[in-house]
Amino acid sequence: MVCNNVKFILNGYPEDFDEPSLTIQSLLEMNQEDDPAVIVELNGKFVHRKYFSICSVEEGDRVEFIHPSFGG
Amino acid sequence: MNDFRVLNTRAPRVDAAAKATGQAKYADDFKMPGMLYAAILQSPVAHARILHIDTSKAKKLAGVENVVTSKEAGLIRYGVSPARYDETIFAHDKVRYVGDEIAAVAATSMEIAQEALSLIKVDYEEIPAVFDMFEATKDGAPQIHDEFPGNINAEVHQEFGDTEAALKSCDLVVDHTFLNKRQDAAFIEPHSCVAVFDHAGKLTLYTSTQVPHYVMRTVAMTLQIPVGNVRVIKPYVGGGFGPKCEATPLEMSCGLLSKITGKPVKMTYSREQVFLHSRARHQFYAEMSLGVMNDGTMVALKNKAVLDGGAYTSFGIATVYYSGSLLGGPYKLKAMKYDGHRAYTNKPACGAQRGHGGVAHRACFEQLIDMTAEKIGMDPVEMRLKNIMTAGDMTVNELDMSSLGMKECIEAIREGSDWNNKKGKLPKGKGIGMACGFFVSGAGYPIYRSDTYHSTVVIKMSEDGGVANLLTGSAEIGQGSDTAMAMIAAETLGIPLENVRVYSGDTDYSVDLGAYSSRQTLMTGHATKEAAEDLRDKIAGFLAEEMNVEKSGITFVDGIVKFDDAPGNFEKIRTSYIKEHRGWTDQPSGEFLTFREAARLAFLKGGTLVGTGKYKPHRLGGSYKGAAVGTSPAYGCSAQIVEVSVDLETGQITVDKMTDAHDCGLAINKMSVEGQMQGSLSMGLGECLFEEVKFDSRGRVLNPSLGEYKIPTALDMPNVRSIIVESNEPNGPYGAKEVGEGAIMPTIPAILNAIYDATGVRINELPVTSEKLFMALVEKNRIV
Repeated sequence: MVCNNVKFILNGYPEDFDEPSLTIQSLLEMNQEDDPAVIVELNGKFVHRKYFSICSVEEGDRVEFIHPSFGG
Repeated sequence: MNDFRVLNTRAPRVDAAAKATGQAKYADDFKMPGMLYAAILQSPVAHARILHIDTSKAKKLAGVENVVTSKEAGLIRYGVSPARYDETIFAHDKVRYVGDEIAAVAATSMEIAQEALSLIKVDYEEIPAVFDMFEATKDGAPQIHDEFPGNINAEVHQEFGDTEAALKSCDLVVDHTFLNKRQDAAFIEPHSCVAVFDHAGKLTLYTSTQVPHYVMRTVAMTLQIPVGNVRVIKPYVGGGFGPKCEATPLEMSCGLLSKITGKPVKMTYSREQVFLHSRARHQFYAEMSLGVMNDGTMVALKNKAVLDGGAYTSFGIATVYYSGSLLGGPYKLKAMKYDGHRAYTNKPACGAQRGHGGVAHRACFEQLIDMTAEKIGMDPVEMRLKNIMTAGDMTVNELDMSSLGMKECIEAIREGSDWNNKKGKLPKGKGIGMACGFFVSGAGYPIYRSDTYHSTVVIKMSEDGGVANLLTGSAEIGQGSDTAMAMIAAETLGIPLENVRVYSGDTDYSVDLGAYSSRQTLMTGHATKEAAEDLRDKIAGFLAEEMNVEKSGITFVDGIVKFDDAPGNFEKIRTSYIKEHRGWTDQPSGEFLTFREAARLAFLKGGTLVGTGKYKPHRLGGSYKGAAVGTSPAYGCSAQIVEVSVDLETGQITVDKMTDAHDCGLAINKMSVEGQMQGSLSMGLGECLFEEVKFDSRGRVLNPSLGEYKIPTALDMPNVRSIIVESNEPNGPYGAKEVGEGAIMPTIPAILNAIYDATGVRINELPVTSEKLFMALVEKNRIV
């Protein structure tokens, strides 16, 4: 299987991966994201938690992991 | 009963004398040689392209030192969450609300600065604006930010369990909607800042802020100054309540002008500018469905939120998250679904005001519980008691209730208000209502992605051993945090409170994320305790070595030292101390060695004595699915009962009595806890009955003054009975957790439930003015 180097933006910084595909769930685990309340946005759109395992990151995508508990 | 000597008492605040005598200096009190006065030009229109800005006439005015626009400030974007940096210091391509900042002037007097503003000519091309959160997200609405199509600034969708299936299984599903109005925090001291850029390239800001650390970072980023060359000093602050939780254009403008002119620059917002800057309470629309069984067991909650965020994000992502997440407790639910979105509109930006996104949705939920209780014929107090969580429970949305005195709070207010003898027995026009609420005690993560410690504290012992100097970047904004930290340090060191001096609110002292999310008691408190323990341990070590005893047998209490609970053989130490202090008239005496002598010995043996402490929430592991840090390390909770009288002829509402119980884990300072409870009640009362920021059809604020925007005074407050509940939070220092924001949660719904009890009319839109209630009574009578 041919693996392409896929470049994307994570939390404002360029990243890349060589896997055949990368899901949001995998990206969370790779980054040791441990906030159960984390908000994920893909290209400015909210990604529901139930889609983390099936939502893939593509070339040029912008992904944000946001810890939403702050303020007051 | 406990063994505390300092904690859990009613201690006078360490800053009380300075404030009461006028010695306290606030930012606007600062005067410096050569200081300039700055003013900001703000947009008079709600939505327009900026075609041209001509500052030439302003620059020529005598007394004007400099005029800056986005040309000088640059276009570095900033905001609160890095995922939503959607602001620049000055608007450059367009303005997005009446009040949007366009330019700033520094001059030798405030009058000249204001006159210079009037000489700045801005050519606008007005474009359609939108002011309603529902209209803003319709097709064809004016687009406010190109990167956010449809004016959706943020959205959160969560589901825990199968909510539809759970609702279908219920015996009864009750629906409700709720709408509040945009509010202002109405702190007495407007934003104010003095910026000093020195010859070494260091910028110091003396500014009225809740978050010196975040201001430092934002100013360093936007003005492109190395972060180590930016110092933020928070003087005395006259209230914050949330809107002072972020860097402001005032601070950045002052910093920029000081950098350019090389002189100190001061700016203070007028009250009108405070309203225009806002960053206060959003307008929320809530739509909820609660499913229950006939025996009152709550099963499922469906919750929808629409927020009017104004022109920029500010704290908006967190706000829309909290509108859902904070309803996960304090009641057991099997399923919960939340859909929330925040809309941009062409109005001042809304932010994080006391209680944040939880207040309006808590009001809706607590009314819904009352409505449900009525339908199934259950007492509202009993219904809540039936469903509350207890310590050790996990909410349906994975919030860990490490401590929760909710049952104790409810029982305390039921007894304290004589609920059982009043509910259902009051004459028409008199009503009693109750509600509950809870809130985070600190956020699990910093706002920017980092492994930083959330709080660090340094305690330096004075070389004569007499005073413990506590240095912290935490922010005393009137809530009493300096006193709390002094009490924690005193208790831990075993010395009287008056022997601790707190120096706070300075980013050069330590890293502390500041006063927001009700974090400082727990987080700064932990760091303080650790620093004091470190210092105590060092002193004990030197003592043990000197006296050839076991360190573990040394204790410090009430300013004296015990060796296995006995005086010990310390004569040599005392003799040395006395001889070193020849001529002193307050030489140590008594049966026990004093802490002062012990600390002095430690200095003589080891040099300067410093204890350091730090805190960040404990992380359990790296799995996203695990409950690792989570939303917060602890949660405070509250219950309130309110009694009202309603004049059925006019709709005039009088709040007669409020009984409030709050679980703060452990009350570090009972007086401060009661103060926070009562302050929360007054704020909630104002939001329920009086407060609304009003706009005209062109987006201009109609009531930007405290004469027109009514907040409660002492005359509006009823008798308040404050009951402190202490559940001993395992994650808190000495068991303590928050009180600053949790206590506001029940207030609005308790008043609304009492009004319903008095009149039979359920109001679900704030504020509940007498006119609104009167019209509702007329409608009810007409239908009947």
